Amino acid sequence: MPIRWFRQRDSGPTLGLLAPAGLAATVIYVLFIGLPIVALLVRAGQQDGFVAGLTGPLVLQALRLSLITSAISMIIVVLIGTPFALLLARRNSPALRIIDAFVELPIVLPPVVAGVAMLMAFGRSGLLGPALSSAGISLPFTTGAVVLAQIFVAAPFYVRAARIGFAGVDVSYEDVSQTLGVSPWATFRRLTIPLAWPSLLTGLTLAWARAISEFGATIMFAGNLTGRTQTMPLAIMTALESSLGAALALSVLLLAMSALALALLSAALGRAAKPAP
Amino acid sequence: MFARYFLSAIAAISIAGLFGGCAGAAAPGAPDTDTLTVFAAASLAASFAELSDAFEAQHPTVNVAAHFAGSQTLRTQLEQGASADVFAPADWQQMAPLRDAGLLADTPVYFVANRITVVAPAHSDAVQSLSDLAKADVKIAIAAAEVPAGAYTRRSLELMAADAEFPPGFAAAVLANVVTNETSVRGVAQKVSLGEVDAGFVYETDAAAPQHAGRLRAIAVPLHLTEAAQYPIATLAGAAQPAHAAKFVEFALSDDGLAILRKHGFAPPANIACPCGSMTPDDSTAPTPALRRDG
Repeated sequence: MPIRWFRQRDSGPTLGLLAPAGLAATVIYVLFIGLPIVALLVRAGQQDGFVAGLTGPLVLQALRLSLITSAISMIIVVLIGTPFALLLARRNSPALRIIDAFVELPIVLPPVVAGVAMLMAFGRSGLLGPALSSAGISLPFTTGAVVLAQIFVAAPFYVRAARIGFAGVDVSYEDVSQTLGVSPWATFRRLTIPLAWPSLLTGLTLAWARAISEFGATIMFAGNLTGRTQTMPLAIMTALESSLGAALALSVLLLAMSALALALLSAALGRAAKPAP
Repeated sequence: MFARYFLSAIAAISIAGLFGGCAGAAAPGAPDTDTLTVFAAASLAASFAELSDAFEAQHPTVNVAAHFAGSQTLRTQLEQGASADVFAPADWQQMAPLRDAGLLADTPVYFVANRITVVAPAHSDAVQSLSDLAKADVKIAIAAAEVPAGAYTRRSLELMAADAEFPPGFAAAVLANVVTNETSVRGVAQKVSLGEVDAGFVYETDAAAPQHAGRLRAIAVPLHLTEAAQYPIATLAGAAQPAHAAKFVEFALSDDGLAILRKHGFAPPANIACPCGSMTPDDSTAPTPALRRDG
């Protein structure tokens, strides 16, 4: 059976000696990535109180908070990120090129650094702290801070993918559409968005996955309080030190959600790849 | 051809280094030193750094690698198979499970005592006294219940709740003002020091730590409203350096060791004997009278 897998795509040049090396590398890779995940599932299955852990108040509150905050983050990321990515893809000015270079910075920035930076900006004694507090707004240690931390670390994944998607749409199609009297907005909605759809969807899924797994910036900027700022990764960290059952339940839940997101993405991409009738 | 051999050699060396490093046999660059791994409570970070330096000066062939984190994190890591030589958590609750699991090489002894105190940012006047902690809109950081400092904090609040000086519902009002349950006491001190919260419950040693000098204002908690935080120390059964580990514990208990710890604000323990009975739920709620420094 494995040999057939190997031959199925054998349409290119022969791999020669690289074929066994590739096979060995595949085995190593799959084992390395797969083993911890299998171990997590096996251990969770053996753990007493796993099912009770799944429905415990700690798990449910963390799940609810994670779903709500990541949904709000993604709405904001799409609303701000889409026009921004379109501008980055279509205009070319020195200022935009400088901005473009900084867009991806949060992707490579350690999340804890992001958390410290957010405290320095929005914290009580941060740059905007006095202005915010005179307006009666206090961000650190609130659910709003969780959302801000998620947007900060996750938005670049969407903007980057959306920019690539928009750049791949041939401008002449849009020109033709507008020459035919279709308004710019309708052209964007009915032509540009559908053509860039696979990129937008991939970017959104990656951004959501990053937001839901956000830990470092959240614990720095939003703290750790059940029901208010304790998202699933923070709850796992906290539960690991008191009840392994709840920690495993949360881990399996987060794993299942990520796998589901990935499956939905490939299903959606598979459908998008088929030519429209 | 040469390039290929060169690359293979580099790969072989890297792999050897990777696995050699895991064994922890030798310190880099010093082939004849032994590495002694010490897992210690976050609140011991500054004092143990100095204690380790003094120990290394006395034992030139030993290199002390100290790891600091919330005691409950270290306990979990040790339970899950992390290898270390000495363990010094901030309370008995983190030591007892290791003893019950047979992971200790000897009987733990208490070697220092600490105490919970309240700190506020130096330049904020939101919290001036303990009673201010229950005021509306005050933001408080504490350590999570799993963290020893968090357990001592909650114990102190219980004592306040039972005290006639505080109004009914005081402890509940303080807990309602808590905005974050930090995973180590250092996180609490840091958030107060940054001025992001109005007050926090930390150890006296954190309040006096040089890195927070001029940033923290301590609000003393009366002795009868705190429980002495006694730190146990023990060598681990899986120690790679059992002889050095025993010497390190001995050094921490010696007059020289105590002098260093005192310099960082720690007090000698009331009694060095740890509770001998097995860990039962009663142990965590009722302090043993003999172990109370204030009696």
